[in-house]
Amino acid sequence: MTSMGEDSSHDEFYVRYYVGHRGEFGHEFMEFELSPSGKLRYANNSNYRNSTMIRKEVHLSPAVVEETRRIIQTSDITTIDDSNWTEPQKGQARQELEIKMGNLHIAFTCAEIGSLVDVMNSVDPEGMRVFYYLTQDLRCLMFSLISLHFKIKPIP
Amino acid sequence: MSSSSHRSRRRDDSDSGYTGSGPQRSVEGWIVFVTGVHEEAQEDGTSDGLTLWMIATYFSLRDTTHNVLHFLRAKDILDTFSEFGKVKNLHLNLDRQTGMAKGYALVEYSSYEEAQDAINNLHGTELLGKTVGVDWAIVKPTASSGSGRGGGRTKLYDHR
Repeated sequence: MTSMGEDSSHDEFYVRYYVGHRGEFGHEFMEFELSPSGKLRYANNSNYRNSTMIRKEVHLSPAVVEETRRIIQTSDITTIDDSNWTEPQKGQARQELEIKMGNLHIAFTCAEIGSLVDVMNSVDPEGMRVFYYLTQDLRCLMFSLISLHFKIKPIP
Repeated sequence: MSSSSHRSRRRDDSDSGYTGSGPQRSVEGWIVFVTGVHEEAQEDGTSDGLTLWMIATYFSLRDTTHNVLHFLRAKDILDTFSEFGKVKNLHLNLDRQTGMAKGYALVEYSSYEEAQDAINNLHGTELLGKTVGVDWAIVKPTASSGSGRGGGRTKLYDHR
């Protein structure tokens, strides 16, 4: 399943996900970014109880990059139109998802989704549902990699 | 393929998943990435699982059974990978929407040799009724992927 050898398949595959807000404990956020080279950058910041920012970098194998691509491709995210989505209000936590895949470049911004109830009550439940599950699945994979590799517990 | 006599330190480039840079040690061991893991609980390879599924369907206990089947599937993977060394950690993550396996797994070994053995012997073999890919999860940076590739994307930590 891990398609190898085709150099072009690894070109221009880029993923970035951000979730965060500014509040009582400063700018609290979690972000990860996967570059075409396979480099995964991860950052997690909270000032709660004086905890410091976690910044990590690790290089993922082509097998992991391919699996990430598969998760995105099978998610229907490329069919989603976010033009009706409401922008996050001031003080509200925001999420950003950016994906470059071949000629495709998509970017989404929306308020943090606490649960499926938020999805159902949104203006575009169908699109938000796809976004919600994709980001959950991506976070799940990246957290596993980060926590196993660095032996730290990422706080989502 | 004997797993013990010739612990080859590298595979042929033809079926190697990475290009040149080689695997990277993690803080407490070596992480192997498994792809193509069977997602469907109904067609679980173990007869225990299948029987359990049928009983659960009859009594409408599918949710509980998902968990049990997931456990059985994880145990099958654990058994298979334990043939090459003690598995320190196994992550078999779920698809958040369906509750079934997402299709990949992470396996951690203490030593490089154990991980390489598992990769050599299990890549391309059948696991839970599906052909799986088994490869390193983490690699050393290549020259081109090191730091600041082309700039442009350096504001991960200080934007907003």
